[in-house]
Amino acid sequence: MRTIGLFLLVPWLAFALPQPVHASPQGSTLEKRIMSKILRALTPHRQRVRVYYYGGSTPAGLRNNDAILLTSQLADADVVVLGSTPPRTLLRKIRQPILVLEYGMLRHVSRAVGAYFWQKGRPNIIMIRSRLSRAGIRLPAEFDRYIENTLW
Amino acid sequence: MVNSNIRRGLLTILIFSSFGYGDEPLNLLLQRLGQEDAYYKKTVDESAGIVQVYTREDLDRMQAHTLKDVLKSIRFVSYEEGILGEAILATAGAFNPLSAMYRLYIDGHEVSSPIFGSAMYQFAEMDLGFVDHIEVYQGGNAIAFGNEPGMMTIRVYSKDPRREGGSTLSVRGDSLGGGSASLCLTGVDEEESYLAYLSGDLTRRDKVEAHGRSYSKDRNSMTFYGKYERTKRFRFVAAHFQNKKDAFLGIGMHQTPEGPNEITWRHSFVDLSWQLPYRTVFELSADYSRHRMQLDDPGGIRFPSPSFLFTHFDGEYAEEVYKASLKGDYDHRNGSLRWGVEGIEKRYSILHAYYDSVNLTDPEGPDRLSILSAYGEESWHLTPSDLLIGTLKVDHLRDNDRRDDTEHSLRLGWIHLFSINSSFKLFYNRTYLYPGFGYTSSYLKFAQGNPELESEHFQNVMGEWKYETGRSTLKIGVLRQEKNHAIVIDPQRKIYVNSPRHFSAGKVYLDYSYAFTPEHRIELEYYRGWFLQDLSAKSPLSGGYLRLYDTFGSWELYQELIYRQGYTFSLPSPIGTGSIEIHDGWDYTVALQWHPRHDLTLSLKGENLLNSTLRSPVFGLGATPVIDRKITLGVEYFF
Repeated sequence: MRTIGLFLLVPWLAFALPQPVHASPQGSTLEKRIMSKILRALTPHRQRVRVYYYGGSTPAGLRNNDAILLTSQLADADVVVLGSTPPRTLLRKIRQPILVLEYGMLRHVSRAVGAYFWQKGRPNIIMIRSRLSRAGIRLPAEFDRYIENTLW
Repeated sequence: MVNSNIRRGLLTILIFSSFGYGDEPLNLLLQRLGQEDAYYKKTVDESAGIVQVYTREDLDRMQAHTLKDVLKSIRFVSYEEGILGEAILATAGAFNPLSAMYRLYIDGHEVSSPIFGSAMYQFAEMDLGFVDHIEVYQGGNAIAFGNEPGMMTIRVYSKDPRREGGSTLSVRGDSLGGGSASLCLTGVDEEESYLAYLSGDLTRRDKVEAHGRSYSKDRNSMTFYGKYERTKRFRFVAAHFQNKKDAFLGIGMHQTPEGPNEITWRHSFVDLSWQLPYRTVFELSADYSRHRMQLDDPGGIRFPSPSFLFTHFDGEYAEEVYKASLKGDYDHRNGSLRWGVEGIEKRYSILHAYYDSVNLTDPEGPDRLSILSAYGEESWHLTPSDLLIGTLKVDHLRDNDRRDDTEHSLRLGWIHLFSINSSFKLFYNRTYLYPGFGYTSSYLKFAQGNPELESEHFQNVMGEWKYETGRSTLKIGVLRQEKNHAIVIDPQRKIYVNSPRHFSAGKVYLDYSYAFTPEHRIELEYYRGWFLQDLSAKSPLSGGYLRLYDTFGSWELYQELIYRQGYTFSLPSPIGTGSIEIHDGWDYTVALQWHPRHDLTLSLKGENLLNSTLRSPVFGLGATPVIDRKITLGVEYFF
């Protein structure tokens, strides 16, 4: 046990050193392509979609994406992407189509037209028919399998 | 960096499906993202050996509820059950019930049993509800995994809360009257994440009727698994597994159990790890387990030690494992260097052992073992398409009853990329298995412990060629194994001894998968083993499987047909000698899932549908099925 104790000393000394800052994960090319497809479908007249993002660190699919221009001004955006539920004051100001990044947020953000999220280890897309109609959005045929009539 | 390039290249070959690169349909992009960004891609170590991965999608589609659902089809391995209903993993042709050659890791933490050497007795039916994926390394895994070496390593990884997107509640019931309920909670924010899993399970097995009696392998179990991570710098895991099972035939001389005939296991562990500067990781862990055997047999029970006849046994044992390790890796111009040091302390004690009214609690032989280890692994990039790997691990072992031992393990590897579609791996492995307390001390068993036992020594060479053509993957592999100092039972003295014989065996396999479309996939595997001496098979020498994965909209269908070759089992057993004829085993499973909504999954699974499943040789009963014929219905709610 004494010898094992010596093994403990070494890491404790090392632990006292300053901690490195871990880089955030590299953005996935596929994630960018999927995000571009969804956002372009929500604003078909735009080649480069201007996106206002709210909620924590910017997701990999939105960063350094040639099809997307991130804007810090809500009024300049074509689409709003929400990573977490924003305050009511901000929600009231949003006039653009909203895409949320958590399934549960579809319930809380009643104007969100759809969600792109990871669930049970797989990436998923859901678009809500009634909300798309209300926002006047007609999605390409390849989205058909992701359109649901009701949010359960 | 170069090393990581070749690993990345291999990973790309592993699952990459080329359904075009242009303006791909959204469903294909999602499928590819699910595959290429899958959690296992971050954990699997292609240079660590010949690896089979059961991905999250595979496990979901298979409806693999317990580890047994995976173990039953692993290449070269046959899942069997002994007279106490305990799991036995037999490698092609061999009989190795107490073997420490199977190592099990959960999130990098090895769960082991100081008595048995391997934790498979307890964990073979582990609940998989908290598991994301499973990696199976064969033919001598990377020594750099740490801990004691093994010949087959099963690495289980829990779900990543960041990929779960919420929590799940699931309930199942089956046609044998069994059922289970589980709750998996996850939470994430910018800095932290957690996973908490709790499940309860009542497993009801087909009773075996014989000799005017009904023998049961029913089991009740409970699982808790908790994981907390903070910005990948700190991780804390706490887990508790327990199960209580009927002891099937028991251990009586005439197999006439009456009254309490059950075995209770509890295993808990905590594991803390810190990411330190210079890519080092410090890990501390502690395992504590207790198991109690209450066995009654009015017909009488007799063991080599104590040698008197008794009818009631009540024994409780405790096992402790403490571990501290520091490991790291370092990239240099032509490759990388992994290193590590670790200390392990193992203890075992008899809390009580009543042979009728006689309580014998002083174990004969060692009950404490300390292991100090150091290892290094160099991966050297010889050319842009050739990676050479060399690993050396030195262990110093000291127990409280016998001399010190110093053992070493050596591993050499070569990975060659012929092209982006084709690769070849070759590994030479030389290692040892140190006998657990179950072999060296007076733990209750059919043979007496021998503190003078030497380690078993293994050498093996394994090669695998892989060819990928977009939709299909072909793997052909060969394994040659040599074993010295094998631990066997001396039939006259009924004591464990090292065999003077040299054992060698060969194995080959062919593995093929083809994706007709992203929704329809087929997988085939066949293996065959043989002895290089005149030995009779004591488990299936060959086997394989056929798996079909189909998706029809929101329906997912999985079909699996497992084959294990028949053989004649003959061996002196504790209750006599004889032989048992085991016919070819065909286990057919169908698993159907329906996702009517994003937050709801309904499942239906039928097992052993051909009623000609894999069987174990059990003296007194003959060929006994290890997989029950049953239908399981389940519902999972996501919130």
